[in-house]
Parts: sequence; C-alpha cells; structure tokens
Amino acid sequence: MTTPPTSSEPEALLAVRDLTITYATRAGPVPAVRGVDLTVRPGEVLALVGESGSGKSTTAHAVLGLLPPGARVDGGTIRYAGTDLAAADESVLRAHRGRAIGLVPQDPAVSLNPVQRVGSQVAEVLLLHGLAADRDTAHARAAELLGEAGLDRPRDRARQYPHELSGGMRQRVLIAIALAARPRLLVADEPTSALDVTVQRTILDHLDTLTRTSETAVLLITHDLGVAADRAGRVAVMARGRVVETGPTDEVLTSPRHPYTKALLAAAPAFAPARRTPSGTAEARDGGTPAPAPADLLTAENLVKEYPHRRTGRHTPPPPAVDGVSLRVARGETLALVGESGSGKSTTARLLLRLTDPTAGRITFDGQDVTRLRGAALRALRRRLQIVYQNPYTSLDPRLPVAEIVAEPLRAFRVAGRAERTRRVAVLLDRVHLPADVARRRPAELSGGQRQRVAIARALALRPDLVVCDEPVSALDVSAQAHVLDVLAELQSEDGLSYLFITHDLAVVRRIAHRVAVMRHGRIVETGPVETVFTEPREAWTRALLDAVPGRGRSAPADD
Amino acid sequence: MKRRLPRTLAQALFVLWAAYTVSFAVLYLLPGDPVTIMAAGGGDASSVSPEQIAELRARYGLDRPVPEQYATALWNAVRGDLGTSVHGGQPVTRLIADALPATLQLAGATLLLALPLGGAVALLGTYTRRRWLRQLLLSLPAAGVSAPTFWVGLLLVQLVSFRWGLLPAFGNDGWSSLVLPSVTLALPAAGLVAQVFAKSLRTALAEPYIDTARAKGAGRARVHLRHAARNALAPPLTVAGVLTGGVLAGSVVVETVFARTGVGRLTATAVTTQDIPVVQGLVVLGACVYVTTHLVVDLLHPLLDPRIAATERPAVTT
Amino acid sequence: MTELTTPPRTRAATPEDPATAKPAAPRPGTPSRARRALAFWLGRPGLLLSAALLALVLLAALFPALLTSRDPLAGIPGERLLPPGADHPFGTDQLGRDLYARVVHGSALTLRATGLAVAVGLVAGSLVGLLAGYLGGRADDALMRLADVLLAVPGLLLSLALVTALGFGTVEVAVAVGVTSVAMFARIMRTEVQRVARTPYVEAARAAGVRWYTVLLRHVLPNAAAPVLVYAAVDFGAVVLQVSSLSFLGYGARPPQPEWGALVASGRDYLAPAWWLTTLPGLTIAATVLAANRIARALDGEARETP
Repeated sequence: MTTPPTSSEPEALLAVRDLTITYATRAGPVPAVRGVDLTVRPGEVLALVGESGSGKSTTAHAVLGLLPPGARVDGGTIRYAGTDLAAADESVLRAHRGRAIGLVPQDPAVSLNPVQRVGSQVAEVLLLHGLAADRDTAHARAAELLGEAGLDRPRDRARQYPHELSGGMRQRVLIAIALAARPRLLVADEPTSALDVTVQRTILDHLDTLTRTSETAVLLITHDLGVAADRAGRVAVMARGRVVETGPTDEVLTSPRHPYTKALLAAAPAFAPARRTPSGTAEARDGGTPAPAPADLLTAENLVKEYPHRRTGRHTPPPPAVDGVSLRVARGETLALVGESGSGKSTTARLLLRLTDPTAGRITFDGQDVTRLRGAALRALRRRLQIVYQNPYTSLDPRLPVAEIVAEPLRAFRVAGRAERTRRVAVLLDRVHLPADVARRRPAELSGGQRQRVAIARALALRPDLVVCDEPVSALDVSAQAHVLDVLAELQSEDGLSYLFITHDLAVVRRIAHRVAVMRHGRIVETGPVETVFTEPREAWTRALLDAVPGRGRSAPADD
Repeated sequence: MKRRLPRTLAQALFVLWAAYTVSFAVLYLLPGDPVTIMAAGGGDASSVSPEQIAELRARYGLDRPVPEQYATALWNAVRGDLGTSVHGGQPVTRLIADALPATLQLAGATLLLALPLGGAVALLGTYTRRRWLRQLLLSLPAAGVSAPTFWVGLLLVQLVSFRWGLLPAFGNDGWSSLVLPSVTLALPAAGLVAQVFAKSLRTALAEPYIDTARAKGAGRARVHLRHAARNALAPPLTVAGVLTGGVLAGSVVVETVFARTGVGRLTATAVTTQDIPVVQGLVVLGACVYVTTHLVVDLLHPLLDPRIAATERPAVTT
Repeated sequence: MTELTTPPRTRAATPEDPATAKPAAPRPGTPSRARRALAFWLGRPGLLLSAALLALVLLAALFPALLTSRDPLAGIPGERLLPPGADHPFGTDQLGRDLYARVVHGSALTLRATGLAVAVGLVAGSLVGLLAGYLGGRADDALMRLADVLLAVPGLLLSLALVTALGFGTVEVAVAVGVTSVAMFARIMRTEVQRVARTPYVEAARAAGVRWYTVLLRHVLPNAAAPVLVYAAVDFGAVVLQVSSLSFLGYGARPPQPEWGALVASGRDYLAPAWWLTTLPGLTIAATVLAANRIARALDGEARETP
C-alpha cells in the first residue's frame, strides 16, 4: 500500500493498480473488479469500455470513493497525484471529490437534486471547497459556469429547477458542477447514454472543448465503442472485472489483439457491415407514394393521432403525436422507422398494431381495410400481426414460466392441445436459439438477451405475417444485440416474415433493414432504401442524425 | 397555486357534504329503527312505550319521507344547526363547542411533542453509523405504534401518578394534567412520523443525486440534511396532516382513561347512549378537521417541492 | 451478466434485519435451500420471535385447553386479586378468576373479530379497487371519491359511528372496524391494477389476442394481488388495536366474556392495588401487534425484492 509511484509512469495523474472490489450479496461475496490496472495521464482522455456487468462503473466510482453500500475495495491502490485514495479516509476523499476529481454521472434525469435551483447546486461546489468568498460571488460564478457548459441565458437558468430543464440541459448542469472547481481529472460515467444521439453529440463535443482548453484529463466510461472511438486517445477494454486490452484508440480498434475485443468489435453495430442487398421487390420502388401494390402487406395512409389535451393548463393544444404518416411494408421486407424520442415512432407502431385508434387515416393489412376493425375480426388480425417490445424486463409476465409465456397466443386462439403446445414451444425456443430447459424457468432467471428471444418466440407462435419490433435491442448489450438481430434476420429468411423495426439507432438500421423511414415531429421526413438514405440523404435532418452517430467515419476492422 | 385554491376548496366542500350524507345514511337508514335505538339509549329497547316512540318520531321529523328528512337536515346543517341531543336536549353544536377547547389543547400538545420527537428519531437513526444506536432508534417507532394507547395511558398513570406521585392522574386541571394524556397520544404519533420519515429518508439517500452531492465533496451531515432530508419531507408532512384527525379519534380513548372532559369524552358518551344527532355532529367535525389539515398540507407541499407548484395535480389525492 | 448491472444496492440496514447489513455465508457459491432458510431465520431473531408468538396466540385461539386447564369464567372466592405467581402466572382478578386463563380464552374473541374485520376490508376493498382500476372513467371516479370520503373521517370515529348504528357486540365491532379499512384496500388494489394494466406484458397479451377477462384473471390479478395481501398483513396489527380499543371502551364483548380490550378496561378499577390486571393483558395486545407488524414488514420487504 505504501509503494511509491514507480518511475516508469512519472507523469501518471491517476494510477490504478491491481484494484479488487467485491459486492456482498445474499449468496456471498461476488467479485466485480478483479485486479484492474489503469493509468490516466494529465490532459488525456482514456475510455474505459465494456458491457454491463464488466465492472467499469464500479471502477469509476471507486476512484471517487463512492462505492454503493455492500461494495468493498479488497485490494490494490488508486493513486491520484501520489495520494492513495483506496486507503484514504473520508476527509481526504472529501477534499478530492469535486475539487481534484469531478464526476459526470450517468442519468441526468435523476442526478440533480429536484428541490434545489440548479444555480445553487453549481455554487455548492465552489462554497464547499472555499473557491468563492461568499454566496453572491459563488452564485455569480455558477451562472458563468452554466454559460460555459453551453446553457443559453445562464442567469435565468440558474434560477430554474431541474424539472424545468430538458435532459440535455440537465446534463450540461451536471457538467458545470463537475468542472466548477477546475478539477484535473473528470470521471464521466456513461455521460450521454440516456440522451438522443443528436443531443449526445453536441454535449460530447462541448465536453471535449471544455476539457481540452482546461487540460483536464477524462476517464470516460462507456459501453459504446463508437463514442470511445470518437472521443478517446486511449482505450481500455474491460470484461468480467478485468482489463483485457489497453492501448491507443486507433490501434485497439483497427487491430484488436484480445479475442474479447475482437468479438465486441464484430458485434458493435457501428462497425458492422451493412445488410446484404435485400430482395428486389422492395428496392425497385422508391419510397414516397404509398400506392397499395399487391406485394404490400401493410400500408398506412395519412395516419393522424391526436391526444386530447387537458382542459386546464396549456392554452394551445399540443401538436398531434402522429401527423399524417404514410408508409408501406412489403412481404418479406424490413422497414425501419427511425427517430429520436418523441418523434412519434412508437405511437405509429401502436396505431398500426391497432392497440390505439387513429384520429384519422387508413390502415390496410393484406389488402383489407383494418382501420376500424373490432371484436372477432380484430382478434383474427392479431394472429397475423405480432409485436416484440423494447424492454424484455417488463414485457414478460414475471409470474409465469417461459413455456406458458410462449404458449399464451396458442392458448388464446385454442390452436393446439396441451401436448401439441408443449411440442411447439420446444420448436419455437429452438428456433430462437434458446436451450430447451429455458421453458421451465421464469423470466427473472434469464439474461436480457435471452428474455428478448423469449419475446420473439412468443411473437412467432401464431406464425404471423408481420412482426412489429419496438426498439427490440436498445435495452441490450452489444453482444446480445448482435445475437437478437441475427435471430431476427434468420427467421425472416426462413419464413419470409415482414418486420416493422422501430429504432433510434441508425447503426442497427444499417444492419437489419431494407428500407428506412425517418421520423421527426410526428411526420416522416425521408424514406427510401437504406443504402440510398445513408449515402445520399436528401433531408438536412437525416444528415444531422447520421452525423451524430458515434464512431461513424471510422472504417470497420478487418472481418476475422 | 392561485388557480389551485378554488378547486381545492370545492373539493373540501364536497368531502364535507359527502361525509354528512354518508353519516346520515349510515345512522338513519341502516336496519334498526333510530328512534328505538335512541329512546332505549343503549338500554333495553322493550322498555320504551309506543307513545314515547311516536313522540320522538314527530320531534325529529322521522315520520316524514326520507328525502324530505335528508333535505331538511342538510339545510339545517348548512345553517350551522346539527340538531339537538336526544339526552338533555342541548344543541349538538353547543355540546361540541363546549368540549372543543380542552381537546384542542390536548391535540396541540400532542403534535408539539410528536413531530419533533419523531423527526429527530428518524434523522438520527438514519444518520448515525453506530450500529447499536441505529438499531435502537429505528426499532423504537415500531414499538410506539404497536402499543395500545389505553394501555400506555394506564401504565403512565400507574407509574407516574400512583407510584411516584408526580403528576395528576385524572381531570382537566391546568397544564400538569395535560402532560400524561398528551404523552400517551404522542408516542404512537411520533412512532408513525418516525417510521414514515425514516423510510422516505432511506429512499432519498439511495437516489443518484445523493451521489452527485457526495461527488462535489459534501460531508455526510450536509448531504443528509440539505439534500436527503429536504427531499424526504413530503411523506411525513402528509402523515402529520392525517395525524391531526388521528389525535381527535385517539382522544376518545385517552379522555376516557384520564377522565378528562372534551370531544373524545363526548363521543364516548354519545356512542354509549346511542345519541345519534351528537354522533353525526362528531363525524362531521372529524371531516372538518380532515379537510382543514388537508388544505394546509396541500398548500405547504408546493413549498417543499417545486415540481408540485409547477403542475396541476390530478383529481383528489390524499 | 445482468445481475451486476444494478449493483446490489442493499437497502440501508434496518435494525431488525442484521442479515442485510452483514452478509451471511462468507464462502462463495450458493448455499443449499435449507441452509439459506436457516441463515434467514437465524439472522432475524426478532422475526423468529414474532412468528413464534403469533403461532402461540393462534394456538390459544384455536385450542385454549392446550395452554390452560383453568376455567376463565369461574372464580375462586378465596383467591381474589392474587399477584402473579407460580400458581397463577398472570395473577387473579377481583372475583378470583385466573387472569392467564382469561387472556388465553380471550384471544379467540379478539382474533375472530380481527380476522373478520380484515376479511371485510380485504374482500370489499379489493373488489372496489379492481372494478375502479380496470373499468376506469366514471366508475373509477365515483368509487374513488367514495373511498376518499371514508378516509376523511378518522378511523376510530368512523367505526364508532358504525357501532352506534349497528349496535354493540363482537361481530358489530368487527364489521365496523373492517369498513374503515375498505378505502385503503380499494386504493392499493386500484393503484396496482392500473400499474399492472399499463405494463408491456399486459399489452403484449392483448396484442397476442388474449381475451380481456383472461388477461384480468391470468395477468392482472395475480400480479396486483401481492401488495394487497401484504397490506392485509399490515392492517392486521392496526385492526387488533382498533378492535381492542372499541372493546376497551365497552362496545365489544359483554362481560363476563374475556376479550383483551375488555380485560384491560375491567382492570382499571383496581389500578393501584392490582397492577397486573391492566398491565399483562395490555402487554399481550402490544406484543401481538408488534409481532404482526414485524411479520408484515418482512412480507413487504420480500414482496419488493422478488418483482
């Protein structure tokens, strides 16, 4: 514990050596970080990349001495400018937190104190570390800092409460807090994962500028290789509590040495090759006019959905959630519906599934007008039109075993007897590459990727023609993502399924879709074959979305 | 807030009306003839002569159709006339007004004891790092809410008054007679406040913004008081509102135990003698207390949480 | 993998749960089910004691003869107001009746009234809440306004008003107390039904073509029931207190029937000479309520841990 910093790393600002952290759980201690070595030099950006559960966040929090209850540092050192923070007492840690090491936390929605004005929250750092003579100067300085972090009208903003700001603005406040005391090291824990890509990009750009001008070193924790590629000089890849590979970003991304890094890169949608050329029918006709053609399975014409606004409150009614959407999905085709949060893409999906009724417009399915279908006819439609939800943690009834969940549509339509149902469930689980014994387990015992495949199996039980996938992989790690996407593609080629694929992630679109429709403010702004839209976007908004994708512009590593 | 006030007031009036109506329905329309019940006064119903019953029936207007009875009673209630007691014949409002001051003293003293006590136990119990102190402080509230008030009251009388001879056991004479009853009522009240506050403090302490505050370099005390406690105040405030009504109800037991006069004693007597107009008056009083405290709590909440001030709250919430 | 994404934020240690503060088995790997159960109970002596006490009370209510051979109603004139001792563990009352036997036999009356009251609240409240939550709209508004009004009158006052109308007696008291908890049961059930009805798995069932009543019975009700049942456990302790308060005030069982609250009330006249007459039955009530609350809290915690 008392070894002085070795001479081989004279300039290290932060040196983590052989760090071991365990969580105490009911089942006994679980190691989360197992002998991690990390070095951050002054002014550099080091990205710590890994999937959930790799221990990257735990490592980051250990640097600040902010481990969650139950976690304990079992060994190793965390040297910041010569002081071992792993062995330091609370008062030393307190002097370092905020002053020497700033933290940008994960989720801006919940990381600000909801009952305090944001200006005071920034000023608190200055007052705590004696960087302002009195309250007034602290508050004045806080407003300046908010301005530096990129908030407009910082003086007014300082007097606002967190709930009055958007997610991106809250993250800027958190950046202002983290940088208020001009720390030499910034720990950014997935700083933009909860934000839309366009917002993510401007915020990361801004953070770049700020830290570069003040020569602040950054330890950037991220699951997104694209973000790491764009922002970091060096990358450390973490898996199962260990750093498996570390080196300059270009080197690690272009010629990864460790098998895990290779697998991660292969799975990452941002670096993955585009889908093979899709079947001709869909590509032949460009988007735009949704004239129903025989091959079209599903069409929508001028769909509008308005939500009744409250009597009290707003004076002007809010714009419709969906405002004149027309689209079509051909047999055997995947149409991706892309947009940021609030663009109306999920509402469109719910309209098409007839889970909610449109205010205006027309929906046809296999040539039949289904816009106002009710009762038995609607149930008959449901057999052919299924859905896979975004969050596999909430879309499966936690009380039922997997076999019951997958068999539910069969039961609902009394398709098969008990024995036949069991047999079909086994087949379905096999088709989504799940082992047979999963049938007896409950959702809580499965990983996220496994659960999502259970949801896919359920959607396939009735052999539908079209499956609506509502952000099916956004809650999953990249390797699980890749697996689910592969399963979906395989099922399509075997059964000729059509997919309507709702997503915010353009990288995923490139991997799975034939055609893409870009939504914004409840309208479709551009539609066409994926390659066309991606290489020659016609609309400025599409271009902005594409530019914001992290890791874009970097060539994919050689496939091996 | 200005826009909310009329709506909150309308809701308050609705609750009062509904409480009156429900109690009218329960007391006058349930099986069992109210006149017979009242005339018997908790005694044997067969001892009442038919003439007495007819006379009572006419006096209370119970020989008229129910809607008319209700309309008359409601109109009278709106004008502040809640009828007269069956036994003794005084106006109900008079009886309540006479009993109220003593009970208000009791309620005030109880809340003054309970809120700081409960708050302090919760704050200290969640703050201290000494395991034994933490365990002790956080298990006290459970004991407080589990002990029957009548039993705690009798224990206090036994020990403090009889054995040690420190304070008067019974009656309404002066402040010294107020101590034991208010302590008796304050113990479970403080227990409830402490339980709710400790729970909301623990929830607040697990929020990510606490990590943000700690990452700024704030010390434990500052994080606890300025960040966690501020955010954890809403639930105990709501409970404090509910407690005011609870103290009123608790006074029924406590005033019986300590032989004090007051609303609680009036209630006990009215129920025992099945004096229906008085009981109904007391139910309406209970609803009034609820509505008033609720109004105050409702107006205080936005001061604690700016998010409430910004948005309209949907429907009636308690 | 995913277990570690949400670091096990062990809830701040509560005094009754030393096991959460100090993780049990130090060796890795999952211990056997029996050993885990053993560790669970040994780590919570308070819970163990509570369970044992409630079991004892239940035994007293069902088979009082197993715990005492004395007659709760027959007094021995020569043994009036004897303090607790080897012969009479709780002492004797002013008529020479054995207080321990009276407390044991009284548990039947108290528990019966409590059970009835909780059942009234649970059944009526759940039904109202289920209807309100599932139907929504006007039915929801009307039912919940009614529940608000019930909550507006302090519980004890409301049950006193009901007792006035219904008359005195154990069953009447039980019904009156039960009515006061209807509103809370209704609210919890409604909230749960609405929460579950909004979950994607319910929508997924609808999208899969499952009929609404099947959705209600197969998905909504089972997933909404747990918190309501937990509240029934929470309510149990409060109801014991209310029932004994009403019988203390003299509206419950008629003397000479032994009922816990009534026992305390009748001991009031001998407060100075015979402390045990009030203290010991009261202690029994307090201990029972404490034990019930402790168990309710354990159920509450477990319900939250297994989503």
